[in-house]
Amino acid sequence: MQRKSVLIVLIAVLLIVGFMAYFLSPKSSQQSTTSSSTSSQQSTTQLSGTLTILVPTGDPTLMPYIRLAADEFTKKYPGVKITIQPVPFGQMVQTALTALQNKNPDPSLIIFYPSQASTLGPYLLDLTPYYNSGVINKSDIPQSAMLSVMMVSTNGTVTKIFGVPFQMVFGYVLVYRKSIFENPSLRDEFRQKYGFDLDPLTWSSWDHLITAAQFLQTKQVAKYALLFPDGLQQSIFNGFIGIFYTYALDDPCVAIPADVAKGAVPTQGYWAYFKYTQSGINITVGCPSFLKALETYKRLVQFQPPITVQAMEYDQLRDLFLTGDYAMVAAWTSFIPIYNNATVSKVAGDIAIAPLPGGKYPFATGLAPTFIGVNPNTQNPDLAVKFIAFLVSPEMYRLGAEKVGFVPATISGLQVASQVPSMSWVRPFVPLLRAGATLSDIKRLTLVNRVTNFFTDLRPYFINQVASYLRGEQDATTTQKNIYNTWLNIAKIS
Amino acid sequence: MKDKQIIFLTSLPILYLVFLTTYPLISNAVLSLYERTYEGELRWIGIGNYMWLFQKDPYGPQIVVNTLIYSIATPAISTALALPVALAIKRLGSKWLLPLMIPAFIPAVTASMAWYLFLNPLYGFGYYLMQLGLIHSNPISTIWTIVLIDVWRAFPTALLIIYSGLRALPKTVEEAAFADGLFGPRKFFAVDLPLITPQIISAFILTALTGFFTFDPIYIGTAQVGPRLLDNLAYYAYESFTSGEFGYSATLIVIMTIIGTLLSLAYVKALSTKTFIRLPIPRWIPQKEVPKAFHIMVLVLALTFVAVPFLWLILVSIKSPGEIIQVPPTIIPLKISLDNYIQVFTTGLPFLLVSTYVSIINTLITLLLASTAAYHMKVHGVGGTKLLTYILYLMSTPTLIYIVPLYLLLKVLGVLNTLWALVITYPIMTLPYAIWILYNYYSSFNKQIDEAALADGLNRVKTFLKVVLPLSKSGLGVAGLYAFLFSWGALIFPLAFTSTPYNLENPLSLSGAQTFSIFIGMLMSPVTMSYGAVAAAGVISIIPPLTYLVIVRRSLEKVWGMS
Repeated sequence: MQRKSVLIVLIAVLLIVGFMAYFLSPKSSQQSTTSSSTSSQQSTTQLSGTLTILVPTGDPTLMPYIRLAADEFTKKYPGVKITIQPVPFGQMVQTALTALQNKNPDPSLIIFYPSQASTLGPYLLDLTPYYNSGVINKSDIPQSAMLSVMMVSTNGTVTKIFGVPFQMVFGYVLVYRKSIFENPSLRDEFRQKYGFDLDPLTWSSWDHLITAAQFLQTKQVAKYALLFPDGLQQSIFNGFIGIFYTYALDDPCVAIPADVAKGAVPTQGYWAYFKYTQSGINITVGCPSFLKALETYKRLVQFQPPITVQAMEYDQLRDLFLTGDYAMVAAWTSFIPIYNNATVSKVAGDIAIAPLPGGKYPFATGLAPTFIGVNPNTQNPDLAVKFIAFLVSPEMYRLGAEKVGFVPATISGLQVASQVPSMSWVRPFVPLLRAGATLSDIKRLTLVNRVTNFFTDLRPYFINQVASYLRGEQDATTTQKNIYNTWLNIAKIS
Repeated sequence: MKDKQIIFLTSLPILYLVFLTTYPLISNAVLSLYERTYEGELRWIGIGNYMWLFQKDPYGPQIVVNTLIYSIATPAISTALALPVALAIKRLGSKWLLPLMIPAFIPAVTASMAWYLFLNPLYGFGYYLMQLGLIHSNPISTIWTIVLIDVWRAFPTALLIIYSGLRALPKTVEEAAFADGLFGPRKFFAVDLPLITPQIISAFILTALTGFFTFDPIYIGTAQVGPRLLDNLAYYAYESFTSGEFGYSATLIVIMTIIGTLLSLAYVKALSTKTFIRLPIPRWIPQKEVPKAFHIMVLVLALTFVAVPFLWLILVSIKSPGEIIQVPPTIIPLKISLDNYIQVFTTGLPFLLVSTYVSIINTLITLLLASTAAYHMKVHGVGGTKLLTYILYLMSTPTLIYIVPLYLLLKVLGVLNTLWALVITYPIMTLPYAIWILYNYYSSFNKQIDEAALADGLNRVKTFLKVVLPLSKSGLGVAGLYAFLFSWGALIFPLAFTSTPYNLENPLSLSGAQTFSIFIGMLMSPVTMSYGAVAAAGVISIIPPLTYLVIVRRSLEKVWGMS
C-alpha cells in the first residue's frame, strides 16, 4: 500500500514538473513558428488554408464589409476558409493580446484602431517586406494614415510597419439638418445679420460655427443647436485635439511641420502634443494655442445639456441626434448610416456633411483609420497578406461602398467610393486625403508612439482636467498648467 | 486504511485548487517587478511599479482610497439597512425574505445595467428626479452610485445572515428578557443585538468582499464620471491588463491580494471568536413594542428599493427602439414591443446554450468535488485551519489573476474555445465558495451516521456516496445555487478562453463557447449599445438563477442559519 502511495505522489510530482517545464520552456513557441512557416509556403502556392479575422463590433459598416470581402475572397479562392471572430470593442485589446503573447496561431488577422496600435504593435508581424515588394500598394495609402502603425527609431528610421489602414473614418465631421440650413428665410436673415452664409461648407473658423449655433438657438428651430462631444471615456479627448490643431497651425510654439499644414486633414493622432527641442522632447500643452482651444471648447458645448447632466459619449452622439432635437452634431462618419436609417431616425434623408469647423481650411476633422495587422504566428502569413491586398483593392472597395456604405482608406478607393451615389458625401474628403499623401518629418509625427503611457496615464488625467474646466470647477489657465506639469512629471518616453 | 481512503477522496479537489491557484500568485509577484518597453519586451524595474503607484500615478492614491470606500461603505450601509428589515421580516413572516433576496442572484452586469438605465438622466427615471429638483447633476456621476449598486447587490446577503441570527435566538432568552421587563427596541439593544454580533460581523465582512471586488458598476459609470475617478484596484488592474501593462496590472493585483488576505483573515477570526458587543442603551430608547405598521413600512421601502431597477429593466425591454431614446422618457410603454426579445433569442441563442450547458456541468462537478473536500475537512479535519484559511483566501481573490497561466494550460491541452476550456477552469471560481458553504453545513452533521455506516461494513467511499451525500441535500442545493450563479454570470474566463459562439451547424463538435455574459458585453459596447436589447438580455439572464433560487429557498435559509 505504501508503494502505491509513493507511486501516486511520484506521478503527481512528474505531472506538475512536466507542466511547469512546458510553460517555462521557449521551445514550444519556436516549434509552432517553424511549423507555421512550412505550412505557409505550401498554402501560398496552392492558395488554400484557413484565416480567422478578429473584428471589433460597433462600427455599422466594418463587420458587413469584412463579411463581404471574406465571401468574395473565398469565391475567388475556394480552397480558402475564412472565419470571422467578432469581439466587443472594449474587450478587443485583451483578446488580441492574449492570443499574440501566447503565440496562438489564431486569429490570423487582427483589426484595430489608432489608440490600440501602440499596445498591439510590438506583437504584430512586420509588414515592411510586403510593402516594399508591392504586395500592398504603399503609394495609394496616404502616409498620414500610417503614422500609428510605424515604429520609428530615435534617429527617425522606420524600423517596422505593423498594419495596413483599410477603412477611413473621418472625425469629427459636422452633420447638419438640410431642412434647417436650406431654409431660405433663415439663410437670408443670417446673411444679413452676420455677413456670411448659413452654409457649413463655406465656414473656416470655430467662430463661424458658434455664431451659427447661437443664431439657430435663438430661432428655436430645434431644441438644441449643436451636439458636441464631451464624453468622459473617449470623445472629449478626440473632440479637443481637433480644436487644438486648428489653432496650433498658426502657433510657432507648437511648430506644426510645413508639409503637414499645407491643407490636408490631420491624422486623428496626438503627435501635436509633443515636439523635439534642442534639449530633448518637449510638451506643447503649455503653448498659447492650447489655451485658446480650451476656451473655444467651452463655447462649443454650451448649446447642449451641460456636462454635469449628461456627458456626450459616442452612444449619446449617435442616439440623441436621431431624435430630431438637434440642428447639428459633431460625429464620426461611421454614424452616418445610422442617422440615415429611417426605422430609428427622425432625421433620415435630412442630413448633410461638412468638415469641422467648416468646409474651408483650416480643418479640425481628422483621419481615424482602422487598421488590419497580421499575427506573426499564423499558419499562413502570405495568405493573410493576400487577403489584406484584396481588402484594399479598388474592386472590393467599390463593392463595399455600393453594398454596405463602406469608406475606404486608400486614395484610389475613396475616389471609387465617391462615385457611388449614396456615398457622394465623401467627395470633399478626397483632396484632403490626397494632401496628406507624403510627409517628411516622420520622426516628429510618430513621437507620441514613444510615450508608452500616453493612453494609460496621460489621457485619463487630461480628460479629467478638461472636464473639470467644462464643469466650471477651474479656469482655463489652471487647467493648462495642471496638465502641463503632470504630463511633464509622468510621461514615460522610451 | 481509513486515512488513505480519506486522502483519496479529498486529493482531487485539493490538488486541483492548490496547483491551479498557487502558480498565478507567484507569477504575479514576479511580474510586478517588470514593465513593458516600447518594443514590447519586459524590463526589470524592481519595485518601480509600486513606487509609481504611490508617488507618481496621479490617481494611484485615489484608487486605493476608492477601494477602501467601496470595501467599507458597502458593508456598513448594507448591514445597517439589513438590521431593521430583518426585524420586520421576523415580525411579519419569512415569506418576505425570498423577494428581498432577488438582487443577490442577479448577474452583476445585469444589476449594474438595470441601475444605469433607471438613473439615466435623459432616458431613465433620473430625468424625472432632475425635473423635480431632487437631484441637480447626473446621478451616475459619483462614487456613491457605485456604492448604491453594490449595496443593492450585497444587502440580501447581509439580510439573510442577520435574519438567520435573529431566528436562531433561543426562546428561553426571549422569555428571560420579557421576565426582566424588556420589550421592543430596548430589548433589541439589550439582548438581541449583542447575541447576533457574530452574524453582524460575518455579514459585514462578506458584503465587504462585494465592495472590494466591484467591477461592473464602474465599467458602466466611467463614461459619465471620467477615467480613473471611480476605479478601484480590481478595475484598474483590469484596465492595465487590457492595455498590455502586465507589470503594473500585476502590481495592483498583488496589493489586492494583500488586502484580500487581510479580509479573509478577519473573516476567519470572526468565525472562530464568539464576540458579543453590548452597546450602552440611551434612556430615550422606547420600552414598548414597535407598532406593526412601522415594520410594514420598513418592508415596503425595502421591497421598493429591490424592485425598482428590476421593474425599469422589464419596462425598457418591452419598449420600441424609438420610444427608448425618447426625451422625456415614458414610464409605461406606449406600445408593447417584443422585438428586443426576438433579437436576443435569435442572435443570442448559441451564447445562451453554452451558458446553460456549462453552468449545469460545472455545478455538478463543483458539488461532487466540494462535498468530498468539505465533508472530510470538517468531519475528519483534513487540511486543518490552514486549508480552510486558504479556501477563504481564494474566495477573496479575483479570477482575473489566473487567466494567463490557465490560457497556457488550455492551449497545451488543445481545448481553447471549446466547452471543455470552461468546464476545466470554472471550478476555480466556484469550488472555494462551495467548499466553504458545505464546510459550514457539515458543522452540524451527525458524525455518528458516518461511524454507523462504517460499522455496518461500508468503506469510506461508499459511506460518503451512499450515506453522507443523500443526507446533504440542503447543503448541496445551496452550494449548487452559488456554483450555478457564478457559472452563469462569469465573464473573465469565457472572455479569455473562448473566441467564437457555439457552432450550431455542428453541435457535436462542441467548438465555440462564448457565453451569454459575453453576448451582453457585446450589446453594451459604447457605439453599438442597444438599450432595449441589453434590457431584454438582462431580463433573460435573471430567469435561470431565480428559478434555481425558488427551488432551493428553504435550504438556503437553513444553511445560512447554520453558518
